[in-house]
Amino acid sequence: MARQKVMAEMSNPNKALRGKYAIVGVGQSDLGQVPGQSSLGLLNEAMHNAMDDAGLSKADVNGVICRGPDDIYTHHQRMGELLGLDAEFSTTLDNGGASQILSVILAVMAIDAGMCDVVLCGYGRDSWSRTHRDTSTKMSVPLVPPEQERSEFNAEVGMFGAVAMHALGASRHMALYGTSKDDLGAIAVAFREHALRNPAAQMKQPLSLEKYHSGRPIVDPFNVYDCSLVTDGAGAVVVCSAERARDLRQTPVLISGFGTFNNLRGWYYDEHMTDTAARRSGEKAFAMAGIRPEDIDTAQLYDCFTYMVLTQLEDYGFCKKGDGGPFAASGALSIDGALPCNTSGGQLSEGHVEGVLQIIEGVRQLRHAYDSERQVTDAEWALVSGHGGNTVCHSSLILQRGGE
Amino acid sequence: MNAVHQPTPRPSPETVPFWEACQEGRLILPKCDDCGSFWFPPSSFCPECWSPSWSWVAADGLASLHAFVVFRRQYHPAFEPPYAVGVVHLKEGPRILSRIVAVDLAKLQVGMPLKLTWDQADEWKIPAFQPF
Repeated sequence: MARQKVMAEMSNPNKALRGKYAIVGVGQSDLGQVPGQSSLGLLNEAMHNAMDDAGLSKADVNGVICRGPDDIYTHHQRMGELLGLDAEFSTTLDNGGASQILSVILAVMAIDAGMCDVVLCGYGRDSWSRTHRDTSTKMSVPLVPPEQERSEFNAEVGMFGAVAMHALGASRHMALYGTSKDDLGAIAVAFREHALRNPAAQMKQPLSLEKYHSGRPIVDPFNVYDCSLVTDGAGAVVVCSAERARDLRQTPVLISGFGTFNNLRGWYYDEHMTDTAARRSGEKAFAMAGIRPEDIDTAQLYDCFTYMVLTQLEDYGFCKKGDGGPFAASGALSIDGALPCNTSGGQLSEGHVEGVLQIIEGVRQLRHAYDSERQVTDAEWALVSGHGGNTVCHSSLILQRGGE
Repeated sequence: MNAVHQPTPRPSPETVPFWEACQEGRLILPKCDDCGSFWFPPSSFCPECWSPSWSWVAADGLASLHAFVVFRRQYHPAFEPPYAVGVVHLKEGPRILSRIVAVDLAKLQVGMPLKLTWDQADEWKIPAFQPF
């Protein structure tokens, strides 16, 4: 009786792991409409690129962590076969868009537990080719296999898709805090501006606030510009110890903090729609890293929809709860703003590969890999976020530029 | 051309009594015999105190609108946009996803009072809510 009436005191990740492991390689495939390659093929390409980037070879890898697209099970086994690898540690994760950061966290845990040394993490999808390449495909191929859909309390009331699920949260935030469509539009416009500086980004046309407001309605309060892109593409990262990283090709990017939180009671419960799992996930990551939100030089936030950026700005403590709209509308998110955010264009304008591109962009910013128009000046700390399972699962990663 | 059918529930063993009551025009909820909590969706243990002792209790059918969306794009041939779907906060405490039946969708507001009505899908009665 009354076994779990109140939540136990929060645990925090072990500070002894702060900076002990690093991301040493990143790679991606072509993004956008990439016909003629499967999701596995795209990921294979991204993993090869990440290994080349790290200067490591096949013999160095003994861990593999994947998140498959929704239509492929035992994904890590399929990838291992393509890579020609047996592994001391391997698995496939099921936390939706929180999985990519979780794979990095799990890699750290596995290496620290002595289970493996070098872990290849990644995700690939062929969403445009598989479900969106033409009208007949759109109408006939479900986004998610029917057996994975809820069998009741969903479709019979007319509820379909992730757009509507997230739009519910936006509607509540607007009602509670006066958040406006202009605020959401400011996010879409800022990220599009970043995408125009990124040759790999899917979106090539400028987006003004006026054009944003004329976007095709999908599910109010979201129009097409509030929604992330349908993408073929893949990304991969390589994790190993910071000690080993010192001898490798790239400036190491240290994994200084991480945290997860999962609102398993669901999106409708409590105030989960406007006080998301990002808050407690972030508190853990900041506590582990020993820094505060104001120390972050660039944030790469999971932007499946504009609103999710807005609430995360509040939940992570970059502004007060309710002030995310004015904060975004102030221009803070642009590359030369107070908090340069989604500097590659994000999932709204670069491409949606379930968060792995956000990790890659965080790493590249901390390597100072870009010329001046794309580079956040003197970036030392980056926050990367991921969330998934229709807004239930959240993971946070704080990265620091390593010593030369 | 086949007739267009609205999706209907595929109940789990735990939810069969809920759907059977719906077919009789009654909205029922599980209520814990020990801690008094109502919950949804139906399940074998109270999610608050984990008690296995609970009963089905009729809901009043009164609620408020926690959040809502208006579909503008057609996702399913049986659902012609525009139409509203909301998270309905039942007076008893649980929240359920529901069709929001309203003559003027522009007048829907978070927090507004709602009452139970029913939507017919083939042989199924599906709970829905409307402003009043």
